[in-house]
Amino acid sequence: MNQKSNSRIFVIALVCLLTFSFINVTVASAASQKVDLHKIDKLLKKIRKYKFGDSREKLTELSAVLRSAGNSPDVLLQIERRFDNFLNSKATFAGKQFICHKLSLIGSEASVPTLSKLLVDPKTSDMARYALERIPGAKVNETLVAALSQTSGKTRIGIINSLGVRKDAMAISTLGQFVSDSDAATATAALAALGNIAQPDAASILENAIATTSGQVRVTALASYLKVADNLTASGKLKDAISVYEKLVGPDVPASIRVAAFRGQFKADGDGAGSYLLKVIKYGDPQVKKVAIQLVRELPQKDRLGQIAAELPNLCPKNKVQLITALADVGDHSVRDVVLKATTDENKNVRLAAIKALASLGEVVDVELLAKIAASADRDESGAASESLSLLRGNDVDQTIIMAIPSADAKVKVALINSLGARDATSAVDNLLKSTNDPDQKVSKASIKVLAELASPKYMPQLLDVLVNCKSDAERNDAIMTVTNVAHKISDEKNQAADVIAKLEQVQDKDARIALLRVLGKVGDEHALPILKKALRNEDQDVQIAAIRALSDWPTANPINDLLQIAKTSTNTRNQVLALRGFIRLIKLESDRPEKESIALYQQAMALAKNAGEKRMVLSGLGELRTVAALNAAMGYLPNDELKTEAEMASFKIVRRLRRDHPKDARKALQKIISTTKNESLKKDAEKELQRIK
Amino acid sequence: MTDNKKMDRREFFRNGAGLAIAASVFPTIVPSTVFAKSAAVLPGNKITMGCIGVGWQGTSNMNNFLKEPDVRVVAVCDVDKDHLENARNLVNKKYGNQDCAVYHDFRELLARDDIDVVSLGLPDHWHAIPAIAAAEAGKDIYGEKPFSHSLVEGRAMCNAVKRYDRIWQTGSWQRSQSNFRFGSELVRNGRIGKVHTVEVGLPSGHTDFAGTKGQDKFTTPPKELDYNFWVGPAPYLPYAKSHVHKNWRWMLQFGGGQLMDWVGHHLDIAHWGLGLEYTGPIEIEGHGDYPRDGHYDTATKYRIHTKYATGVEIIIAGGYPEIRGGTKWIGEDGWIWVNRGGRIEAEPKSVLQEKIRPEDIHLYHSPGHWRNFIDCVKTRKTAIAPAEVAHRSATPGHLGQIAMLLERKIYFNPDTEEIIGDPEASRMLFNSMRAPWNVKI
Repeated sequence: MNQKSNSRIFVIALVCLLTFSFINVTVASAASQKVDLHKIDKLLKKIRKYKFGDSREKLTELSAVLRSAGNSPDVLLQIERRFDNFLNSKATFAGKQFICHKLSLIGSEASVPTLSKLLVDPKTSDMARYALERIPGAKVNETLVAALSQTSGKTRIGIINSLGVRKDAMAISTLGQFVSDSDAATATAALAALGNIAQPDAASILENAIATTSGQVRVTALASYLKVADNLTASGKLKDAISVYEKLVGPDVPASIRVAAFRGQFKADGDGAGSYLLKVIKYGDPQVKKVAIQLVRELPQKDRLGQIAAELPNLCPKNKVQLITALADVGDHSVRDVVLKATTDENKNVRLAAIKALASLGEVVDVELLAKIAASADRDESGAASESLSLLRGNDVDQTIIMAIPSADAKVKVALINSLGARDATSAVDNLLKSTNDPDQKVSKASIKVLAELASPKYMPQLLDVLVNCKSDAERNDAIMTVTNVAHKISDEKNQAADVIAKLEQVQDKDARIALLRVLGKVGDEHALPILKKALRNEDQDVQIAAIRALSDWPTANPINDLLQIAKTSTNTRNQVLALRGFIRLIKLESDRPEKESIALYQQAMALAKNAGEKRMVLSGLGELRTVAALNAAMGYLPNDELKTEAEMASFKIVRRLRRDHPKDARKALQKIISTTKNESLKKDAEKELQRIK
Repeated sequence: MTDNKKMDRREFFRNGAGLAIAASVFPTIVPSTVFAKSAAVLPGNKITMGCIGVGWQGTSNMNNFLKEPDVRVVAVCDVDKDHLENARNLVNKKYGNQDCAVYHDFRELLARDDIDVVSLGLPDHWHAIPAIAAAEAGKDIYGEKPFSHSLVEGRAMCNAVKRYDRIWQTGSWQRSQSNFRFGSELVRNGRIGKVHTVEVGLPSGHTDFAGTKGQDKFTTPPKELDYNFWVGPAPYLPYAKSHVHKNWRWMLQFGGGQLMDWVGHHLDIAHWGLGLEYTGPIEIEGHGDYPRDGHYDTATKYRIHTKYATGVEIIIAGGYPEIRGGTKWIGEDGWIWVNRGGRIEAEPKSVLQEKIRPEDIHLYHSPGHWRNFIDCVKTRKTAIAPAEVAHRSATPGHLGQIAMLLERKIYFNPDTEEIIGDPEASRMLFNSMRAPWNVKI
């Protein structure tokens, strides 16, 4: 052949090759996206040398290309062929493991021949299984079964596991050959795989294993047999299932399997489940009895519930608690009497369970009993009864509680009143207003407190009367909170204090006026500010103090300068200290003020502070800031022995907030804290924080 | 009955035979280096506990159980000897004795008949196997969120807990906090009208919890750590400091990133408020920023949109500032937002003044998350965060992860727990396990 002919052949070959390549390297996926097979080839070439720890760029890129391939079988097959070639090459372990993972997602039976080679090699068997376990098709199962005879030890166990994962019923007899393997690990794997497959065909193999093995192998056989029975139940073969369960409740079966078999039997028993449960609760061994009680919740018919509940007195305290709790969950009122009796059981845990159960099983007639227990000295029982009283359902329950109040003794009254609050019984407001006059202060206080929750703004006049007529400071403090709370319910937020201001104009009594001033501060209606500022100049010091306190309670920083002025100028120590504390509190409130201004205010407060208490408050406030200036300000107090602890804590809190944006300053501050603090716990925390910055 | 049959499980493991035999479902394990003592005689009426996995979260849970007067921690287990030693010292210090037994292998601890309950504090890839083994051994279980490392594993765990009638409590402790319960009760009782959207804001990025981020060089594992056991059922990867304690969660083969770390908290609360605790989404789509390089491969920023059969849309996002951290239910008449630190906000604000009345729906009231578990072990009442609920809370996370990795919308049947019409996505519902480990499905 001459050179010319050679050239012609070469050109033809090149054209053919290019044409072939063109046809094959770019294919359209179902999503009409082009998949660049050339790119895949290039990436595979790189991945061939991939080792753990190398850049993952090429792997990520391949994943992205695969995503663009979509679900089109034709495209995926072409990619799969390339993966097969890759796995047959001398690629690295890490590269092959990655490609096997990809095959696990897109692979088909076409990959099985290649994977089967990797499967029988102990070094690559796992990665082959990662792919094979996810690839559908009988061919995979056949390959796995065939590989069992070519492998041993851990490799073979892995393959057995895979057959179990794939639930391959065709493999049952093959797996059966391994349940008596001299290697116990292999035998157990085979039994576990049969459990995963859970088909009746495995029953005889499993029965035989149960009869002939011991220890963990036998336990695995029992557990797998149990799964066969569960599978029979799921497929509606209840009689067959029950016959298996019956074989698993014997005394030579571990308790956990017995329990599960009992449960299975109960679920499969349909109409007979109730009587079966009753029998076990009466006569069963402790482990199974416990579960039988648990299963009361799942009884398909409730006709046996009464008989089961009637067994309560015959049970031990632990089982009693369990049964009462189960009956409460079922919530069938027909068993109420049994539970009611248990509220007087000699065992406290039983009593407690019964009291709690009345929340769902109790009726309106139980109000009195629950209130009495709620008023009793035992805190646990009292708490449980209060809870049940608050949850008791029924149209008449609120009214029954209200009617019971007048004739009850003081402690019971308190319990009843508190329950009205918990029940959100707004219909009780009028009655509660009356009981604010109860001669027993516990009752009046409870009524005032509960009114805070239940009273609507329309009751404000009556509540203000309650406030101004309080007989003690304790009552008055509660009434202040109640009136404040109800004022906050007024929808017009700018006029929440109108009634209070009006009342203040009518009232002359000093204690009452002071109480009303306190309310004004807590409500924070701007209309009240001039009144409070005027009160600062009242000649009566008690009124002045009330005004300072009210302004200190103000919900915004509006009166901050008034308080600062008093803190600066007052000659009365008490007024000065109270105003200063109020001033510090108002600096801490949320505002639009730049942080450097807050720092300046804190520095002013520090300068005005005459004792350690206020100085510590300043540092605590500084600790809420998040700037370097705040950090420097807090750090500045570290040398002060009196304030060192608070300065450290404040600095540390600031550091935690600014370490990301100001690592240098944070590091410096932490190093200083670590080197000087005597607080070991803080030191450790600071060291951890420093570690994070590094 | 043969003599062998009479041998109890503990004895079986102690004489060594059990170690070999158990390895069919479980690998052949390191010979017992364990120093297990016979259990001391315990004061009656205590719940005996074994703690498996006593690193960061495991120790935190253990410390909570140590505070309970009716619990006695009798054994601890970890594949890191330093963790083990630390946990043993904590227990012994608490009880003023030297009785706490230590185990390297969880199967030995589970074989003890005198242990009633176990607390599992393990990395995600180790959630299913010990949980199912514990259920099979008749132990009640406190386990961590996310419930499982894959949806199929989660279903297997639920089945085992149900089959053996075990009490299960998940570490979704927000359920035991009053603000989360109150917010959920308000939503459940219609106080903000029909809810059409829920925003679930989760953290983003790869927080360097262990201070090991970037320490990616492959080295010989430290002598205190049995690294092969630690990797267990996950695909093998050489040891690097950045892979293990605390930061394992940033690698998909061991954990699920911020998404899976938190979905068992704020999404769990979202479900609670909506009464969707026993179902799942029907449509899921999302986008995740997965690092293209480096050892950590979980999404650093993500946004998942899920739709439920009720019509509600739940958006799960990390790294999107417009989705505020926590759970926000948005209804026709307002919204309610809850987060940690007792925080609860609403619009209109008056919603928060509402009371849950006797005739309203009252959600489960737990006196404390760890306490609730112990109470339920005693009363056999279902705990506040049971297995099935935890599984359903993890489900949108698993599905979201699949949708993001495949970058396409997926459709899900929550009744059959199958992905519809997407074979590739369906295959991602289950992770294969390295031999000889296996999960009992």
